[in-house]
Order: sequence, then structure tokens, then C-alpha cells
Amino acid sequence: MSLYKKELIFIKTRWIVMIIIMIGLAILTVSIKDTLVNLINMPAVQEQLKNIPKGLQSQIQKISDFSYYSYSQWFDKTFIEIAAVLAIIFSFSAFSKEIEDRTIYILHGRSTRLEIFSAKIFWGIIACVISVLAGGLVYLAVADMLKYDLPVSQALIWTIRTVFGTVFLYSIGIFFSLILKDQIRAILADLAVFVGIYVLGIFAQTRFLGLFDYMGSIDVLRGSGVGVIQIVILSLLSFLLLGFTYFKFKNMDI
Amino acid sequence: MEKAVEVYKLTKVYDNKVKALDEISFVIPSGSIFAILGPNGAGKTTTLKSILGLIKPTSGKVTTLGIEPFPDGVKDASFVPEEKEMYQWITVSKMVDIFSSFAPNFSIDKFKKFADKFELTMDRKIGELSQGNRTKLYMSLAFSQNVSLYVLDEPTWGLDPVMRKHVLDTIREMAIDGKTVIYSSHILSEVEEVCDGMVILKSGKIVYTGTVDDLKDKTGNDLSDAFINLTKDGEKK
Repeated sequence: MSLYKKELIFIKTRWIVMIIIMIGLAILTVSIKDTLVNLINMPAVQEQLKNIPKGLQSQIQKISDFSYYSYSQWFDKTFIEIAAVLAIIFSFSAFSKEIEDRTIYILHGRSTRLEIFSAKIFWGIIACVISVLAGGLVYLAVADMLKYDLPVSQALIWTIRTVFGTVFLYSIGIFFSLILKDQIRAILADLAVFVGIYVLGIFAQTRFLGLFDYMGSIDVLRGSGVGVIQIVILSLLSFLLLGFTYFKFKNMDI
Repeated sequence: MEKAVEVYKLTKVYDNKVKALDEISFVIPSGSIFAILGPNGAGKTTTLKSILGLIKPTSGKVTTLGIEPFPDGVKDASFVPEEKEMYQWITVSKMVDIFSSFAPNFSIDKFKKFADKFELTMDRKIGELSQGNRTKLYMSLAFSQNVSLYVLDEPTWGLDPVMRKHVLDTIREMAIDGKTVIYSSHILSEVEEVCDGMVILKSGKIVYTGTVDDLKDKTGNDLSDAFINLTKDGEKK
């Protein structure tokens, strides 16, 4: 039981809230699809659409296709945005709060540094993975219930990509939580890095570093797979980052 | 003499280049009540943290209960830090539940006895407790662990005289049971009352090692005067 019980108690409320938000938004996004398409098809809106660039126009027209709608309104939008928020919410306070509040003294000595680190990381990763899976799978289930045509493989590929992407973002959050020893600075550093990753995905030369582009890629609509190489690289990077963070924790003064 | 703690030429320089300890050496015998004294900034807390493996020595060596305590600490020790901070939003009983799940050799029966003695209210949130009650809770949790070494940093801070007496009595009982207690305090009368041996630190260096009685014999003063003489600026021993 040990520290795992304590960490579960401490993450429980945030976890429940984030799952409710994730599931709620997944249900909402599927449910408003027809309303949104009807809105776009209104003559007045169609008239306005003529004034916007052709590329954007065609994208909006494609929204009636449910796969494209799922990509543009959920898997490449709200889903990965919440995933990034999850990574921040579950990581920023993991070490910084214990150090800031000096409650780390309750844990140290009574547990080894590896036990403290493992218990925190364990529940953080589990919370990220389950919350993301809930968002992806509930979206798929509701789509199926409402008889929308969304290939299961597409939804699963986006979901799996987002799971691994979120764990990597969580690892970044854990690193800042320990190194900065300050909750606010940890959140700001997370946001700065996440925005940086997003910006990298915009430019052609650095697109391969755009994690969010990978997580919610349009390539999935064109038959692209889960991307085993990317998953291996993301897993390796997450592992190395967490390993490095543990090394810092093991050698730091408390 | 069996050694509970051995500190040998311990130096600690923090990242900001502040030298908190400068080659200090001393031995704490098992089963003793040992005080670490000194004015603010003398290095008392750094010494306690080194003994517990909370900080990494820059040089020198610390052996606590036969092991090098850094980085993993000493499971057979219980620590009460200067800042008795706990998780504010949980109740006292939840805190006990959580603490008992990971603290080695924790006895819930023992805790109940301390909770009665210290008049703790179990259903109150920790954030609502006064500084004194937080200290009492922290002490009760630490004392309810059956370990060989208790390290107490300012253990009676914020306590009224009755509770302070309870704490000092408990410390004495622990020593009778063969436990080692390391004790840091600004209240010299307490030290005089309970401690067998002590070190006095000043600016990271030891200015006195020995017993309270020896110090009083040597200086011919009471403990307060001796302490002031040893730690005042420009004074060397």
C-alpha cells in the first residue's frame, strides 16, 4: 500500500474532475455535430463563407463528413488541448508543492527517494493514460450510438497517439515540477514549452518536432497508421526524461 | 560506546556558495539525548539534515545507525523538522491513516495514547490547527514510530508549559528505552533538563562538544552565559 495510497488520495479529486470534463466534452462534441452542420448550411452562413479564403471554405464544407468532423473538432482540437492540460494538472504540483510546503520531510527517510518518485509518477501516468483513453473511447462509443460513421481504427489511432504524447508532456511537467520547486513557475514553464512544441509544428522545417501535429494528424484520415517509430521515440524520450528527473531528485538537497 | 551517529569532517557548501558547515566532527552515543545548539544560521538544521540524508555532504562523512544516510535517509529514524508542515486540507485522522500507510513501525495504539495526552481533535482539518496543535500532531506521529533514532528540530516550539513537559518526559522515556534522541532547541533550560551531551555550533564550526555539566564546570557560569560567551562575535574556543 505505502505511498501509493497517499498519492492516489491526493490525485483523486483532480482526476475525477478531469475525466468528467474530458467525457463531457467528448459527448458534447459528438452531440452538436448535426447542429453545427445545419448552421453551416444555412443560406446566410453560406453567403458569408464565400468571403473567406478558398482553402478554409473547403475545410468547413468537409465538416459534414463525420471522420473529418471528428478530426477537426475533437481529435486535433479539444481532445489534444485537454490532454495537454491533463499533463500540466497532474504534474505541476507533484514535487513543487511538497517542496514548497515542506511536506517532503514527512515522506523522506520513511520512504526511499525511489519509492517517493515511483509513487508520484505511477499515479500521474495512470491518470493521464486513463483520462485520455476515456476521451477517445467515449467519443467513439457516443458516435456509434448516434449512428455516425467513424472508423474504429481512426479513433483508436488518434487516441493511442495522444496517450503517448500526453505521457511525454507529463514527463516534461514532472521535470519542471522538480527542478523549479515552485508551482507557478512549473506551470509557466510547461505552457512555454507546450507553446514552443506547437509552434515547431507550424513550420515545414521543424514539423517533425510538432508533437501536437502527430497526436491529431490529418494523415490518419488518409490511412496513416499509429506510427510505431514515433511511439518508440516518444516512449524512449519520456523514459529518459523521467530517468533524468529521478537522477536529479536522488542527488538534490531537500 | 556504541555510536548512533558519527559525523567526520563534515562540510556543506550550498549551491549559493554559502558554507553552512566547516569540517565538523562529533559522535552521538546510542541511547543518549544529544543537543545541537547554536545561534540562528549556525548550521544546526544543516547538521540534522545531513544526519538524516536530506542533503548531500560537500565533503566529509556521516554515518547514521551504521549507514550513509544520503540519499535515501534512514528508515529506522523519525524526524520532526523545524517547520511542522502537513497537508492542510485533510483531517487529523486522515493524516494518521496516510502516515501509517508508509511510516515504518508505526503503532496506531501508541498514537492514540499521544493524541489523548496532547488533546488532539481527530476530525479537524490540519489547516485549522494552531501552530501548537500542529506541533503536537507532528510529535505524536513521530513518537508513534518505534525506531532507534528520533531527530527533533525545535520540538517544543509553540507549546504551552504543560505540553512542553509532556514532550520532555516522552523524550526521557525514549532514552530509558534505549532510543537515541537528537534535539535542537533555542530553549537552553530544556537542554539543561534533558540532554546528556551536546555540540554548540557557531558559523558552521563546532565551538563546544561535551556534556552540559562539563561546560558549566569549565566556564563557571550557568548554561545561558556559557552559550552566549561561546557564540558571541569574535569569540573562539
